[in-house]
Amino acid sequence: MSDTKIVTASALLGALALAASFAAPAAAADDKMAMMKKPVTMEQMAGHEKCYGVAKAHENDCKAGPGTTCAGTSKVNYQGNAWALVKEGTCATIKTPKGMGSLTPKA
Amino acid sequence: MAVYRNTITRGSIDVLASTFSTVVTMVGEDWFRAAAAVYVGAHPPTTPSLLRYGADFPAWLSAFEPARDTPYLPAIARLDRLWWDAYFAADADALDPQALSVLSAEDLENTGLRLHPSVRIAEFDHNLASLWQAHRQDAPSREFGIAEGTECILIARSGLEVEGTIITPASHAFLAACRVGASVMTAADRAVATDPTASLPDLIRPLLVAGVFTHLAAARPGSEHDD
Amino acid sequence: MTHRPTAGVSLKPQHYSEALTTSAADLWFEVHPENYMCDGGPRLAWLEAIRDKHPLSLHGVGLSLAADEEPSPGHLASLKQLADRFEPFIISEHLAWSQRAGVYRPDLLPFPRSRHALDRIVTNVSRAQDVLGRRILIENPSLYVALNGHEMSEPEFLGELSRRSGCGLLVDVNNVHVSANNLGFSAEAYLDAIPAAAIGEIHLAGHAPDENLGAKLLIDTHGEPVAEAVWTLYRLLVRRIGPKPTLIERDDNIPAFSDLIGERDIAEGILAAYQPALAHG
Repeated sequence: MSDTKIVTASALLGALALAASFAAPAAAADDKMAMMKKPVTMEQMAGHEKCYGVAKAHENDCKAGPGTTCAGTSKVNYQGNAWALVKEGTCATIKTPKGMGSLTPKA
Repeated sequence: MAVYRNTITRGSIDVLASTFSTVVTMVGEDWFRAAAAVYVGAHPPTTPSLLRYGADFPAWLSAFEPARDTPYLPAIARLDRLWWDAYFAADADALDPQALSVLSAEDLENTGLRLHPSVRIAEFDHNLASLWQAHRQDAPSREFGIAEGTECILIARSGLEVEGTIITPASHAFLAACRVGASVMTAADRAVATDPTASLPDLIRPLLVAGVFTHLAAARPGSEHDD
Repeated sequence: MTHRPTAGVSLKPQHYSEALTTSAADLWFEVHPENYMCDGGPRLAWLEAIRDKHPLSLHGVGLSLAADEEPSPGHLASLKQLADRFEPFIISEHLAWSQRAGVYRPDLLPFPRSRHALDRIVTNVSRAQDVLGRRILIENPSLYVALNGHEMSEPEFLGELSRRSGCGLLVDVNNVHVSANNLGFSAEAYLDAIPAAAIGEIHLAGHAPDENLGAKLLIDTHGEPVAEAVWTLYRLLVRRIGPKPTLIERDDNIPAFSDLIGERDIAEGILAAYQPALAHG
């Protein structure tokens, strides 16, 4: 990009004012992207504990001691929490285009 | 000494399996743990807190021969990692949207929007961000086709919840400019240059609602040319 | 802390909600500080909310105090930060090592209990206590192999460490049982040899026989309920030293919160039976 401004200050000020007015809590209540911005309540805390990802984040605990006698193949960390169970090997459901090579993530 | 050896390997692999949980979902636990064991051998943990272990696992995976037939895997690993970083990032209050309505024309040139510490943005080839999202559901079932093009994603935490949202290239350009400390004007310019049809109110409003910004601050020198 | 030593349980993320709302009286929680060394987010928010209602103890696994090098200044600083924020009533660590030359091994590794090792560990424990600005407790490890080069028994070593560094001791009764079984010594004699005045906390946990070697090699899994043999040793210990804060420690195969509380109630019963008036009578 060059230094040439393609947005005028007045247009941007208008856009910001418009965005801000519709981002007010009442207007945002039904927004799909609406997330908590205030300190959360205990009820909310409890409700969000079962979100996927959070379940997995619970399993990376450091432990004091061996935990189990079987080494790298242990499945012990998938026991006890039905909601933490994951389907395995879903790669089979992915259709890769012919000739698709290495996919380098972009910056 | 086998007890000790097993514990060390298992502890490190467990952490990788929870961090890269979508990769585990896609390749299955046995494959993942075997690959992780190779990684742990080459890159053992260096700190007693394992919360951040495995930062270079996605890059390592892209050079891992057995992963070649699933070329989307390193991107999936990277997305898992972005989610993880957002989950453990520092807390901060979201910007009050009203702060934007008092800006002057002059402010636009020298004031920037600062991002919440949890905000991560990235662009991927194909529809890999959607692929990642589809496989973070509890029961991904339908077949997923990899499409042409590129895709951008915003991953951020607000309150206790981390959410990934596919965003437009213009939104990505806006946030990328904010990330390096550019002024509001430059960020808007980048967005419109990326997509001349982009509507700035529509672009900015959901970001405000999502609590992506924390405060306004002086634009950083040099950021106007940073891409 | 409450007016008398009570029993607590390990706090695991699976139990956050219940830990926050439980009505169990005089309950306290213990966590591994390593799991809370992050900048922000849900984990710290939960810990803060729960800490507002219950006393907390920090039980470290990463200081590597028995290593042939100083404890990591960065790790120590993170621990200090957590201690300042959450004001735990106990901070404890292990008589073991896990870090050497920049590589961290997520385990608690053994070492020969030599005079030289004692000097080194006294220095490391003192260093940790200086940075934290308080006394810490040191826990006896579970042992799986007989090393050469020991110059002192473990109770003797721990007693000397406590005397010279000023640290207290955390007696893990399950570890004593596991080590005694694996290395062939008397658990009762071991417990009798630990200086009572130094003991600041007791741990109780479950173990399991090794998959290949069976009961010849018990593994300190923290993945089972406390075994009957360990309860028996615990009663003996409390009868001798009086009630001390006691933890039902669980790291793996996490059961329902109510199961942990059930075990905790057993410990509470034993502690109540040996309150000072009775213990001294």
